[in-house]
Amino acid sequence: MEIQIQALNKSFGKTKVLDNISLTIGNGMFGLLGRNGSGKTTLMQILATLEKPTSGTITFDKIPLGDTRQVRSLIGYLPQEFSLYPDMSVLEIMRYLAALSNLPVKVQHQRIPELLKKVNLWEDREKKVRKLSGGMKRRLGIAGALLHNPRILIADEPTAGLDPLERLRFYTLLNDFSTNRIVIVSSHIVSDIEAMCEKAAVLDTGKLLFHGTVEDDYMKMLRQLEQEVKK
Amino acid sequence: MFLFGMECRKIARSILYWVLVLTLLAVSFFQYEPIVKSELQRTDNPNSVFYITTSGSYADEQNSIPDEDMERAMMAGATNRLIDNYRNNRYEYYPFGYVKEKTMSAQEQSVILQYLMELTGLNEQELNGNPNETDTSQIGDVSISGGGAFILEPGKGSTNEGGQFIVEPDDWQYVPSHGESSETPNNTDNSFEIQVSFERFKEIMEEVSRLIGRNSYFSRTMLTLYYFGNDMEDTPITEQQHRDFYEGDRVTGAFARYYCDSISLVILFLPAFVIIDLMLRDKKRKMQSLIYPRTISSTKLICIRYAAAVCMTMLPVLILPIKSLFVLMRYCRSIGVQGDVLAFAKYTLAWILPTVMLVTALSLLVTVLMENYTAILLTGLMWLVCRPSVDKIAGGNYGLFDLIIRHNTLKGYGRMMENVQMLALNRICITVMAFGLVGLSALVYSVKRKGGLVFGSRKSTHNHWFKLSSYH
Repeated sequence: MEIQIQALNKSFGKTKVLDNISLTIGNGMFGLLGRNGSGKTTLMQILATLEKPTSGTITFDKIPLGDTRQVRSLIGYLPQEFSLYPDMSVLEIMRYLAALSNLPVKVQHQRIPELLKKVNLWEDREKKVRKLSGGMKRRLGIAGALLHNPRILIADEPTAGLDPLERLRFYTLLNDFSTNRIVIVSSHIVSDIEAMCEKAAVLDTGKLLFHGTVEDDYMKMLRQLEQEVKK
Repeated sequence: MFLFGMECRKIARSILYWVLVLTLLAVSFFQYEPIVKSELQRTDNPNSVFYITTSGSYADEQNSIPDEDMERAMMAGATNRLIDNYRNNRYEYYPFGYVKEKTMSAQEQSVILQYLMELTGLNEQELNGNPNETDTSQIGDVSISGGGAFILEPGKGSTNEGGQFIVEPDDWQYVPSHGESSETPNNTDNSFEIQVSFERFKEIMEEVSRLIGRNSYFSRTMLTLYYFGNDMEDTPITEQQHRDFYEGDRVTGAFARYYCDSISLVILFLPAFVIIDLMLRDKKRKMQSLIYPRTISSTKLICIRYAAAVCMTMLPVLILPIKSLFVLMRYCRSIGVQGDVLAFAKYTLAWILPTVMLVTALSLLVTVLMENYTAILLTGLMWLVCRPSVDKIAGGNYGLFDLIIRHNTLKGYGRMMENVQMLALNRICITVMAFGLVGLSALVYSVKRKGGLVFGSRKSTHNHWFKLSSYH
């Protein structure tokens, strides 16, 4: 599986949000690093077919982005900010999302327990969403994104607001899933990207500043600076 | 089917849905059911639709009546009603299609008194009468015109180019009351001769109507409708009406029509809330970004949600009259008449469903497009504009583009059958328009899922401490 992004531009009115981005993303964990307003979320939304690029091309194993039906069957998307119907139970949410993914009932019966066990929510399956913690909601979100067994998972700041234990659980979960698949995660925390991903890209004000492995000197420099700021 | 069930469950958990259900319940309980009850309590009354004569003859149907007689009937009837309203200081009018009562101030009452004195030549004491002797049931307008009323026989009247039912003065027929109706007036304590010309009478009525409010009984429209009489009014049953009720309507049909009329104004507005709430819940709960990238097609999702909203709206509409259906069927059995058990289902599906479909479809389109509550304003406006005027309420509302059908009577089967083609065409037109709007909604939804048609500004969703620019 390979995602090819060529000369991608995106503007909202007169504001240029993505500026001539060219990137190739292969199997495994891929990190998108950037501060607020750098264009990470917009890039992810374009990949998830939620936004149209102003110009440029994106292909998913030669399937163009415009073929939304095909592309949507390939991707699972976990937005940074989402909520769920509070009066539905965990199981109902999974069934609802499965129905929206056109998953046959037979497959639902197999996939839902499997995924809920994987994200450690099986015991809480009858719990109403309003009673779930932030971390539990995120785990439910990721289970929902994986329902149709997508070949690409796009997770926008999946660990934002989670405690260290939940974050670790998330890393493991995403790592498990990344075998023979593409997992794109975004974060503004360098250490998170370093811990999770083999490859990363750095965006700032819509421009691609870096694209390479997390062992690269550029990433090490960012890590060092991040630690200094924290001190 | 599973998704449809889930959407129905979501609707059932909505407060706004229960507002619709409770409103329908209230209308059914306070407007429709009392009619069933009262009609069943007066089956021996010649004015009742249930009335079956023992003498073998019903009220006569006579031919045209001179204009002067009709004018006299109107003046006498309206004046008598005004005396009654004045004595009770209770004036009915129809500002929004439903009846309202007004109590006049002392000053307004004295103005009415002056008009009554001018109209009747009676003095204040005579007009005030003895309150204990006042019996509202005896000062009805029905028999003022000489112990009978003017009716419109089925088959009379015509349809104009716009599809509106038109009744000419010659279409009315005078029916004398032979029955011992409880509503026969007794004017012994206030007999009077009208002292003014018809022109002056009209001027006075206009003034009186202005004092009471929009669409009072003394407005020109209502005077024409009520005092020239029609087959929708509380007049003794003619043989044709008897046959229409027992053979055409098979009893329950008349009540099903009346039920549909009772809930029609609710149906013209409140179904909007159901679909608006269903669609906006995605935005309120930030579910859009979880739903939009799913593989389900926009057409399928929109159609399922639309169908769920329409079905859930129709559910109480279909359930509420079941109680009265049982009561009516039991009565039919007791008198050996074959009632139509499916009448309520047929009428609600034919008369109410298309309106529900259109109101829901329009609200769906506007909500998908705007992602806010604009649809409530729009349907509210539509409710005000498309509500039939008061003269159509009892007279039937059978225009090609009328959004609701009004038929505020248990009679009038013949009139409905006269207009059945127009009715069918109207319902088909509305249904087709509804499907068109749903198709458009699916198209807009599809564009929105891909990031198109965004109204308003996009706001930043996060604000982190990490500023990469500082490392440049």
